[in-house]
Amino acid sequence: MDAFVFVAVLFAAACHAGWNATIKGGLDPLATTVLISIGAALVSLVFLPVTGLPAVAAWPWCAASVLIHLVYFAALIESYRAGDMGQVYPIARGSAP
Amino acid sequence: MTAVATTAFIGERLGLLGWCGILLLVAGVLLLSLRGGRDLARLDRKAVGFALFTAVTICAYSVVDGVGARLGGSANAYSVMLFVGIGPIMADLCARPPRPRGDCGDGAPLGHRSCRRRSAARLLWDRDLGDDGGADRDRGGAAREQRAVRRGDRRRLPQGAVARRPRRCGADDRRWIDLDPSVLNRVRRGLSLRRMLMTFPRDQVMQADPAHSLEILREVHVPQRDRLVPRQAERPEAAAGLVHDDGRAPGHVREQRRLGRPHADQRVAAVFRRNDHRSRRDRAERRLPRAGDPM
Repeated sequence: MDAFVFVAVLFAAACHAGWNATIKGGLDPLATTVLISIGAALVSLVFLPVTGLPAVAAWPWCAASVLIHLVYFAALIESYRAGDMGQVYPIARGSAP
Repeated sequence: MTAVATTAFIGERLGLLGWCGILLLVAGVLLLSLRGGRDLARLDRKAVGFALFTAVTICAYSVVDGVGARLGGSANAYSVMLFVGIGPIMADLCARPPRPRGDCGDGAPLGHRSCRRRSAARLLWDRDLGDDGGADRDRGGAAREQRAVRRGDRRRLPQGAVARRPRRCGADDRRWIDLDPSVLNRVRRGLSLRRMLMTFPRDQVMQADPAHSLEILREVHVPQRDRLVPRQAERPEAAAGLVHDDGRAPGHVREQRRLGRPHADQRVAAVFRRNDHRSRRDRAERRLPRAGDPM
C-alpha cells in the first residue's frame, strides 16, 4: 500500500473515532450529531466548487445514501444512549465489513 | 456484512485470503466487545442490538456509496454532495419539535394552546430504591406493576402479576414535578431528566395524591444516581487555605462502587394531570412554568 494512502486511512480512522467520542462524551447525543453534520455540510460546501458535482447517474444513489445516513445517525445515537462507547463502537464498526 | 452484500448484489469477487481476513477481524472485534467489560452472563442486549443495527446501516450506506462513487466518476465529488445533502436535512429534522401525542384529559391534544393554558403536564418521579442486584433485570416490570398498584388500576397490571403493595413506598418515593407540555416534549426528545431536575426549582417538586388514576406517557431512565444524591453531607471540609474540589476529591471506595452501577436505578414516568388533581400546595404558591415563560 502506498505510504500516503496508509497515513490518510489512519488519519481518517482517528477523525472518525474522534467524532464518535464527541457524540458519546458531549452534551445531548442528538444535538451533537446535528452540529457535526451541519459542520460537515459547511466544510463540504466550501469544497464543492473544487470537486464539482458527480455525474447524474450517481445522484439517486446519493439520495438513497442520505436517507440511509439519517437512519444510521438515529441508530448510532440510540446505541450511545444505551451502551458504552467501548462496546458500541467496535461492534457497529467491526461487524460492518 | 458489507462483503457478503457486495458479493451477492454487485458481483464483486473477494479472494480467499480476503474472506479469511474479514472473518478474523469481525470475530476478534465481536469477542472483544460483546462483553462490554462486564461479565459474560450479563450481555447488554439493548446496546448490542442497537450497535448491530447501526452496523447494518453502515453496511447499507457502504454498498450504496461504493456504487454511487463509482458511477459519479469522482469519489470526492460524491462525498461532498453527500455531506451537503445530509447536513440541512439533519438540521431541519431535529430543529422541528416532534408532535406531542395524547390529550390533556379533556380531549384537547397536548400541544394545543388551550391545553397548555389549562393544565400543566407532569412528571412522576418514581423512585425505585431496591438495592438487590439480582432483581435488576426485572426492575422495569416491577416498576410498572408498582405504578399500576398505586393507581388502583388492575387492568394495567401485566398478566399474572400479583397486585401487592410495593415494598418501599414511603412518601419520599413519589414526587411530582409540574412541567409545561413543551418541557415534556423535551423529555420525550431525550433531554436527560437529571439535567432537567437541576434546572427546575425545588418548590415545583411536590407530593402527589396516589388515589387518582394517572395516565402514563413514557418512561424516562435516570441512570446516574450519584448526580441525584446530595454528596455534601458526607464531605469533609477542606483544610484552611486549600482549594475545595468536589469533582476530583476521592470518595468512599465502597460507596463509589455502589453509585457507579451501570443500570438505571430510578424510573420516571411522564403522566398527565387530571382536572381533578390536587396537590398539597396552593396553586398560587406553585409558580408553574407558563407557556410564555423563559425556560
